Amino acid sequence: MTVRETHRRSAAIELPPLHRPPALVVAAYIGALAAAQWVVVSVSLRAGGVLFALLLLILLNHAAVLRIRDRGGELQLALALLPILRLSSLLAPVPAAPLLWWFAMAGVPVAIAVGLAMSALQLRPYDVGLAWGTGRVGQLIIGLLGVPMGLAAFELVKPTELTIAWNARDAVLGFVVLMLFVGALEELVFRGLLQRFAVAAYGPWGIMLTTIAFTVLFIGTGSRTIVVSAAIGLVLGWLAYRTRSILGVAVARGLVAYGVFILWPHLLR
Amino acid sequence: MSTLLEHLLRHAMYGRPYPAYASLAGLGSILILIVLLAEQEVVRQALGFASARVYMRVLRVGMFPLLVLVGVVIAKRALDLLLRASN
Repeated sequence: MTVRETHRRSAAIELPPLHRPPALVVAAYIGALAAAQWVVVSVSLRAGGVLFALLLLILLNHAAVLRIRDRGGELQLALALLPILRLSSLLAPVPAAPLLWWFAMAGVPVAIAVGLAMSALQLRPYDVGLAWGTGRVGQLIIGLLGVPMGLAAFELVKPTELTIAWNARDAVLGFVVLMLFVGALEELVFRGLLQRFAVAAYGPWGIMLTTIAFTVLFIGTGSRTIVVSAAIGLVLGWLAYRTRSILGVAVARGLVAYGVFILWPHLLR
Repeated sequence: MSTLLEHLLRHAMYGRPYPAYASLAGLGSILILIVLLAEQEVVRQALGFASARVYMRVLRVGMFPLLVLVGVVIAKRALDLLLRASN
């Protein structure tokens, strides 16, 4: 391994000096995300959509102004991906398409946003944890943790609405779609970008901040789902932080989603 | 092709209901896109070239995904209207 490669490995998810945004401002943004999500599920989808869109506008402008002044803005830009994530999941799915494709439809705009954010922040793949980090075996083990985590999540949450069919085609297609658009893409957003900059600004407390931001988007899905999501987010965040890679946690997250939505409901019911 | 279109039209009408579908939930996205596009021009004129470039690189993160979303919303709406017209 060359010196450069060694440096790259150790640099994954490590951070350049970062302007630290006031914690109150970040807390306000996460509170606003929670409020918008609550409006979506409890008051009006339309009003919630508008709130998410306004929040997106504010976060983008905040990030842009800070970047012009050379005063950071990375965390605000990473937070701006969350309204995009939610707006996309609300608007992109087409009723005519099978449920499984909804994940892919909602994922495409988010993938575009992630690519543009990485370009705006001049990040390369290993900067966001797309590297082996502390070792391949460790990442493999972390990835496989998704199987028991998915089983535990299914037993605790017991999702009642299941419309993904159980056949060979959907089982394989579901695996690919969920690994790509839930596992890889969402972990890139939360652990690759948001947690990276949150940890840079606040140290290990950034893991907690990311977990809270991750959890508020589950508001309205029931208290059990929220608790399970928070626990999964915290574990994955800690593992990504310790191993400096998101490869394992992306696989684990994909396996959790596959287990909860497709595998365990059909094997255990 | 016509079979596919018919399939899509039938499912758009009788398929799984989705709360965002028939509503103007895309309103937020459309509004924000208009603001971002307008802002682009204002920023270009008000700031120097270098600053405007940095600004726009950040705004693009929201603009392009919203363009895709607005396109999807309009397409779904058009499909709905087409179906209503055919009935």
